[in-house]
Order: sequence, then structure tokens, then C-alpha cells
Amino acid sequence: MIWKNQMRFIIVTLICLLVPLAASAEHKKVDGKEMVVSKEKTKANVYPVPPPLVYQGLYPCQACHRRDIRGVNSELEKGKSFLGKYIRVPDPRPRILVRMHTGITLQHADWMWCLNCHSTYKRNYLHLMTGEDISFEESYRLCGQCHGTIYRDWKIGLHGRRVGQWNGKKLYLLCAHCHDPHKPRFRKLPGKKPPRFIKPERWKTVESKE
Amino acid sequence: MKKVSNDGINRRTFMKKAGLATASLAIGGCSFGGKLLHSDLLEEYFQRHFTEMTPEDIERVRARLLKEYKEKFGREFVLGTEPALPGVLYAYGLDLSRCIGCRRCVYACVAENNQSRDPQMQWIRVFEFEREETIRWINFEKGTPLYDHGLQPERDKVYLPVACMQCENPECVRACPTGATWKDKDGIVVIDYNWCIGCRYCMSACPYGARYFNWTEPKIPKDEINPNVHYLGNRPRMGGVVEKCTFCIHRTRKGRYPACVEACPVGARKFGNFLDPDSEIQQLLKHKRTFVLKAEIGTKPKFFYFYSFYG
Repeated sequence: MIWKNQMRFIIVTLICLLVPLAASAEHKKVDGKEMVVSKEKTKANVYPVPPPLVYQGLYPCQACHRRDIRGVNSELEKGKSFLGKYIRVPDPRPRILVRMHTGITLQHADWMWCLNCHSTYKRNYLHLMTGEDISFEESYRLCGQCHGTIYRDWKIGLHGRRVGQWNGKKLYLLCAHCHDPHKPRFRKLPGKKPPRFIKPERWKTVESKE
Repeated sequence: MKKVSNDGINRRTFMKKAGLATASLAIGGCSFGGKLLHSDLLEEYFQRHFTEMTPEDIERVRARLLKEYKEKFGREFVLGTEPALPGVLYAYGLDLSRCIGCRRCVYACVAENNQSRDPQMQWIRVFEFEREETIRWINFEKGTPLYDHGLQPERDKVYLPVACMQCENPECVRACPTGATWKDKDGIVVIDYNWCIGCRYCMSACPYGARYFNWTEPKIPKDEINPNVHYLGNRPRMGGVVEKCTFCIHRTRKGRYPACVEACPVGARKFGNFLDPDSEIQQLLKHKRTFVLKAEIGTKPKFFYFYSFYG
């Protein structure tokens, strides 16, 4: 009887191990055609983008934001033990920065502050709400967390510009190539001149009519 | 019988003198008669319709045109005559929720397609409407292409650029009496400028007002000329012919985007192959609220306006 239980256990374990392997490729019928859909959706989505824009002189962040440099984050280090003087702990409280990065105005939704997007411990990276650290080249995943509809449109090429060939290789642009992530609201662009249907001397009268 | 005075000239003397004059002209003409018969002028006059030309004819026309452009503009041109790519039907999408009316597409088109600067020719016209005027339908009497606010976009305004729609059922092609304009296999409605007689029937037939006439010889500053041209597209035109947007035929037949798509700073313009189910055009037709202008007249345009937000 013991053997029967053990056998059952082994068989059930094997089934539990093998079924995910078999189901890793899902067969679907779309329009009568067999399609194989990969189940590997949890991996990072990789889109070809040009290099991300970074603040000159500030990047790479980990030149200063390293665990072994003192004095980079203030209050929590006061009153620390002997080790505390040498191990930096970032202050997680949202606040307006006064000692450094005062040149960056942050106006991106009322409640957001730096560490909502920038990774707390690895400052060369950004982080998602799941805690995963992502590089600046994948920043669209971070923006896509809140702006999901935009992210969905961006992936199929309906949001923003794409450069390349209409029938070939196309490059995506990162969100940050057009939208400043710290202050995303766009300013107005200077418009170009209207068509000269009417001689310029008569423009004033036309404008006043409208 | 009354004799009518004829001042000393009678029919016989007249005919003699006329005959002598013609003969002398003919003899004089024969000295460069050989050159006249093969001159570019006669070649251009007797040129055949583009669709009837053999490849040799096309090469001769290309050589003649390149020589003409070299003399006129002082630059080496690249004249394309490539036919339509197979399995392609071009379509265009325009995101009305993103267009800010900056007119960068207008001027990029002017620079790319060798349009006359004086008198000014623009193939794209951007209309400005009040937002309330666009809720149910677009009434072009309430819009204006002559807005000039300095900074774009103006609050509560919707901007709608209009150019040739490359219709499936084009009115202009039906109206052309000579067959100078036709719908090519990849969907672009093209004009053979050497066949156009400038009657402007097509301009009155177009429901969108997208065709424009060269009243004079187009004047382009020499340093702003684009030397990469196509015979049916942006080659330097002559006065007295009709021209219009060709979806940058010299670019799209090589796989590049039209100039307006690349110039738009907000990414409101989408271009692609209507027959490709993965193209951006098919995606926007599937997922976005899309419409065409003057749908009720049945021209089936290939220029789709859509809203990516506000529905």
C-alpha cells in the first residue's frame, strides 16, 4: 500500500511537471488557420528603440548613489550606529528635494515623487510596481503601468511617431523621447504661416470677419 | 465691267512671291532641318502616354528630362519611373485628436515635392474647426484654412488637414478628357504632366478640392530643389498643368514614408499598406473610431481620419 501511495505520488508529480511543458505552446484556430501562440508573455517585451535620453552630468546615477557613499541621504543616517555611518539607507518619504536635483521640476500627477519610478537601490534603473528593476531602454513598460491604453496603442504603432520604412524595419521611439517624464505636459508649438490665398495687405480684414 | 483697282498686285504676282518666300524658308530651314526633326521639342510633343511607353521610350524620356533639368536647375536629378510594388494599396490615417495644426506637414510637402513658391502652391490644406462644430459632422463652411495664431494648438479647436484622398472611385479620373490622370495599381492617382492639357475639369470634379493648377511657370529657389524625383510625382512641373499630392510616390515606392508623415511632430499621421493585416492602417481601422470625408458620394477615399482618444 505504501508503494501504491508512492507510485501515485510519483505519477501525479510527473503529470504536474509535464503538463506545463506540453501547454507551453497553445494551439488556436484563427480564421480556420492553425496558429501557435507562445505562452512566454511574462518575459520583458523588447521593442527596438534608439538610445534613451538622459541628463548630461547626472547620468550614471550610481556614480553618486552608491551604498558606500555617506551623506547622500540625510535624515535617516543621523543617530545611526557605527555601521549606519557607512551603509546608506534611502529615505522613502515623498518630499521635495532641497540638496540636489533642484533643477528638475517634477509635475507628473500630484502624488508622484522620484522613487515612484526610479529604483530605490539601483539608481541606474527604473522600477515597476512589481518590484522588478528595468533599464531606461525599457522605460515604456513603466509608463505603460498607468497609461495602459497608450501603451497598447504604442505597441501597434498608433501612438506617436515611428521612423523607418512602411514595409520594413521600423524603430519605435521611447515615451521619454517626446514626453519629458518629469514634466510631461506639452507646451504649444509655433505654427507656420497660412497659405497666401489673399494678398498680405488684405489679411487684416479677413481676420476681423472671422 | 468695272475694273477693280488692286494697287498693282494681282493674284499671279502674289502667288509667285509667296512661292518664292516659302521656298527660301524651306531651303534655309533645311540647313538645320536635321536638328529640328530630332529636337527635344518635337520629341516632347510626340511623346506617348506613360502607360503606352516601352522601356526604351521611357529611357529616352528620362535622358531628355535629365538633360533639361541639368540645364534649367544646374543639378543632377535622379528620375525614377518605377512601377507600383505588387500587392500594395496605400492608405493613410490621420489622428484628429492629435493634430495641432502646426502646418509642418504642409511645408515639408512643399520642400519635398518641388512645389512653386511664387505663386505659392500647397498640396495640403489644414482646416481649423471649433470643437462644437465637429461633434455630429464636419461642415467645411464653418472651418477655415487661413488661421494664424502663432502658437498651436489653439484651445477648443480641431485641426483637419486635407489633401488628395487617392479615392478608389476617383471623380477626377472620370472627368479627365485626355486620360492624363489615372489610378495606378498601388492606389495612387497619378498625373502624366506631359499629357495634361490644363483644362481643369478634374479640379472641378474633385469633391475635396485637392487638385491645384499651375497658372504660371512654377518658381522654386535653386537651393530648395529636391533632385530625387519620380516621373509621375514630384518632378519639376511646367506651367499649365494640374498637380496634387501623390503620397510621395518617389519615396513610397522605395519603402520610405511620405514627407508629411516624417514631419509631423506629434505623430498624427499614419501610412501603410491597406492590404497588409498587420499594418498600422488596418489596426486603426479595426480599433479606432474612423471616418472618411464625404462618404455619401461614393468616392471611397483611402484617407482615413480617426480619433485615438475622446473615443
